[in-house]
This record gives sequence, structure tokens and C-alpha cells, in this order.
Amino acid sequence: MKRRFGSLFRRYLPFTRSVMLGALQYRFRFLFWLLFEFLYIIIAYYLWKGVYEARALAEGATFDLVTIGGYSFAAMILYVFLEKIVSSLTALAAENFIDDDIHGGNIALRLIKPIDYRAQLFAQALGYVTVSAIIFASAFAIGMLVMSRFVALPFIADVPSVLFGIVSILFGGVIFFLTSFLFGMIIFFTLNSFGMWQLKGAIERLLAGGLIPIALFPDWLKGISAFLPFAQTRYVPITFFLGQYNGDLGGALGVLAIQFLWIIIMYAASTLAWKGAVRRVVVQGG
Amino acid sequence: MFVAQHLKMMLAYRADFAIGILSFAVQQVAGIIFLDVLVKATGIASWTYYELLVIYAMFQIPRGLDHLLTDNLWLVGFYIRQGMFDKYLVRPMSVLRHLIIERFQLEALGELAVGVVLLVFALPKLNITLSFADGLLLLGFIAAGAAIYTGVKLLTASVAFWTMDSQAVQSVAYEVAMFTKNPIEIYPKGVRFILVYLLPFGFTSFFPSVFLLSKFTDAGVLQNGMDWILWKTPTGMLLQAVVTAGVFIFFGLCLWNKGLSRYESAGS
Repeated sequence: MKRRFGSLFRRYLPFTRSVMLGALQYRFRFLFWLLFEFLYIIIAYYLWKGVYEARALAEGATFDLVTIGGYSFAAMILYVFLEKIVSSLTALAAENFIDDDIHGGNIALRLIKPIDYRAQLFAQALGYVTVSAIIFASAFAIGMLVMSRFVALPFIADVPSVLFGIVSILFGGVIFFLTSFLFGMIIFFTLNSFGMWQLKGAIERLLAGGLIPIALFPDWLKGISAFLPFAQTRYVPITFFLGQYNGDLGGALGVLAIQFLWIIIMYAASTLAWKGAVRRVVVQGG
Repeated sequence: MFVAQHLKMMLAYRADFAIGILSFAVQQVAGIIFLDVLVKATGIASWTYYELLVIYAMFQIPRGLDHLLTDNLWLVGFYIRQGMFDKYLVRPMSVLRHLIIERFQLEALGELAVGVVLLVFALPKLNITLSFADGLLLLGFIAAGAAIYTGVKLLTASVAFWTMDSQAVQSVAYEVAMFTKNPIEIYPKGVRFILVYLLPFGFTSFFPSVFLLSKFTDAGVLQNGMDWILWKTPTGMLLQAVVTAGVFIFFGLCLWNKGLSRYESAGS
């Protein structure tokens, strides 16, 4: 068993490493992208401030006590940062690599080779995330700590919550990857890459709580979000770090179990799509 | 067989186009959900929900107009890197004009459409009717706003002549425009200054909206929104907008020409 894991590791590590090295070459791009994201955070800060101030005025309440969907202003700002951090940690995207393979013309080879294509992609995605997460997650974490000097961010998550949150991030990353892989297989079938990718990204961002916390969604949107895996990738881990499951062991385990269920669902779905793609390659003769 | 392949490609292109529009639509829906869910009851700063829709609409229109016409400016760096830029040098037309004319971005019609629809929807709700003179001023603002987008894009695109990649700088500058989706009163002084004098996107959405909604007597807007405007009247604002647009286009052209001659002399 141990020997099997060892050889598994050895087989896929080169993929991870090569992607990591490739990603490091793009570090300037990353830095600009980081600047981008910080602009977004600044806009979000002032926008939410405006919204909460307007609410305070309308309700005749003091600013600090206003809550929207259960979030105080400070909690909302914390959410913004956590969302950026968690999404950078769970962004195990396979689409880019699949897209490259499709356009490079070697997708057929990849699908037929004895090496597990999905595992290979996972290794590659891990490589990418490692570099981007180090840059982005740490930058946002630092930003978050700096912000906490100005706004009393509610770091109320207790130790169990943080631990669960880390597990939730791992689960979320796997779900993200499997969803991305499934999508890549669909792209393979429809040969429709760039547009679909953008569309998926836009939908994913919205439904994963990228713009506003899901708790604030209108009910119909909450319903849609519950049926799709996107919320499981970012939003669920974030809720742990917001302290929503403090002292709520049952709730925490329940949510993790749902994530695990989604892993199984996405694993099965992506396997089906994958088998279909392989079959098509075999039938069409590459 | 060949025909089928070609058809497939055409279909893919059109499908891609449709999907691009769809993803744009999703983003718009997201933005409107935000406004709807959070702001409908209370508004933000001194702006009500429908007034915010007007700002949003005015954000889209000049942006869409510029996007429609000058989208190729984004790709200067790409063309240079791929060695595709030289073809512009060979043609008898001015490089810049050729570059711009070559690409007409239909997708931008989506942005324009969203803006126009929102404007047409929101203005009646606010009981605002525009006189002919008002309409002219509005068109003036839209033109100036689009010109500002173009000017900034031109300035930042010229960087490609030195660094071969203007994507990053352009993206950041363009992203700053996002600030103007919201009334600029909510931002601190420094940001407001930037949005009027350094990356003057404030003229694209905020000031036209102030004009449209007659917010000149609004204390909040006067103090925290119009503080950098020199002539606080509609025509005064338009004048400042036009002058600013002119300045940025002028400097954009200067930098562009400087970069172009540098590129040409480098022995392409």
C-alpha cells in the first residue's frame, strides 16, 4: 500500500512541478492581478459602507449595529477578504490545461494514455494553485490584518471551526477541481472553449458567493445555488471562518458531510463524461 | 467534409459569441441583484435606487461606445509580440486609424443596450423628461465620456511600444473605471481626485448623472461629489469633461506617436 502511494506520488509530481515553475514565470502578471483585486476590495469597502450607512439612516440605528442578512458591516468586510483568500486556495482549475490540450491537438493522446488524465490534471492544478495561493492568499491575509486595525473584524471563529474550515477548504478545492474537469470534458464535446469558460466563471463567481454572501440572495437564487456545486467550493468554507458553526458540532459535521456528498457526485459525473470522451476518441480514431 | 468543418467553425464562432453575451448578461444580472436586494429600499448616500440605476446606465453607455470602436487598442502588445504589428506600418493609412477601424466589437452593443434600456427604464420612474437642449448636453457627455475611455486606453496602450505588453497597465487603468459604477461621494477625497483628474472616469458616469438628475442643489453631492469640478453648472461640467477628454487624447496621441517612431526606428 505504502509502495503504491509512493509510486503514485512519483508519477504525478513532475506535472505539479512543471506547472509550478511555469506559473512562477508569470509572477509579474500575478502582481498586477493582485493590484486589480485590491482595487476591487477598495470599491467593495466603500460600497458596503455606503449601503450600511444608508440602512443606518433609514432604520434610525447606529452604524455598528446594522445587520444585513445577519452580517454587520465588519462581518461583511471580513467576508470580502475571506472570499478572496478561500477562492485563491480552492481554485484548482483544470479547464486551462484541458483547453491547451485541445488546442495543442493532443487531447486525444491524453485521453487514451495509460496515465490517469484526471489525476494528471489534478497534479497540474495543484501546481498552479500552490504558486497563486502563496501570492494571493498571503497578500489578502496581510490586507485583512491591516484592515482589522481600522475595522473591528469579527475574528470569532474558534479553534474547532478553524480546523473544520481547513478541511472544508480541502473538500471545496476537490469539488472545484472535479467541476472544472467535468466542464473541460463538456468543452471537449462541444469544442466551444473561451465563451463557455467565461460563462462558467461568471456563474460560478456569482453562485459561490463571490459578489454577495449567499445568505443575502433572494430566495429563488438561493434555491438555484443549492442545486449546484459552486456554493460548496467557496461559500461553505468561508462560513466556518466566520464562526457560524462555533459550538455547533452537528451543524459543522453536517455541512462537511454535504460537501463530501458533492465530491462523490462530481466524481461520478466527471467519470461518466470522461469515459464518454475516451469512447469518442476511440471511435473517431483520434 | 471540408464544408462540414467550415460550418462547424462558423457555428462555434457564433455560439461563442452568444455565450459571451450570456456571460456578460450574468454579470449584469449579478450587479442588478446587488442593487435590488440591498439598496432598493434605502439607496446609497444621497441617491435613490432609480438614481443609482441611472448612474449604472451612464456607466455603461460611454464605456460601450468606446468598447465598440477602439477595442483593438487592447491588442497592441499582443500584435507586437506576435510580429503582427508591422502590417500596419506598411499601409498608407495612419497606423492608429487603421488599427482602430479594423475591429468593430459587436459585443459592445450589449453594453450599450443595457445602458440605454436602464436609462429609458429609470428616467420615467423619476419623473424626468429631457428637453432637446438636455438631450444635446447628454450626447455631449456621452461623447466626452467615450473619448476619455479612448484617451486612457491610448495612453496605456502606448506602453506596449516600450514593454511589449500593455495588458497589465491597461487592465488596471480600465478597472479603476469600475469605481464609477457607484456615486463617487462614497469614496474618500483622494479617490475622488483621481477620478476627476488622473483617471477621469468620473466624467463618464457620475457627472452626467448629476446633470440628468439635477443634483446641483443636493448638499451631499455638492460637497463630496462636485468638489473637484471648477464650474458647477451643466454646461460648465460638460466643458470640463470635453477639455479633460481632449487633454487625455492629446497626450495619448503624443505618447503613441513617440512610441511608434521608436518602434519603427528599432528596425522592424
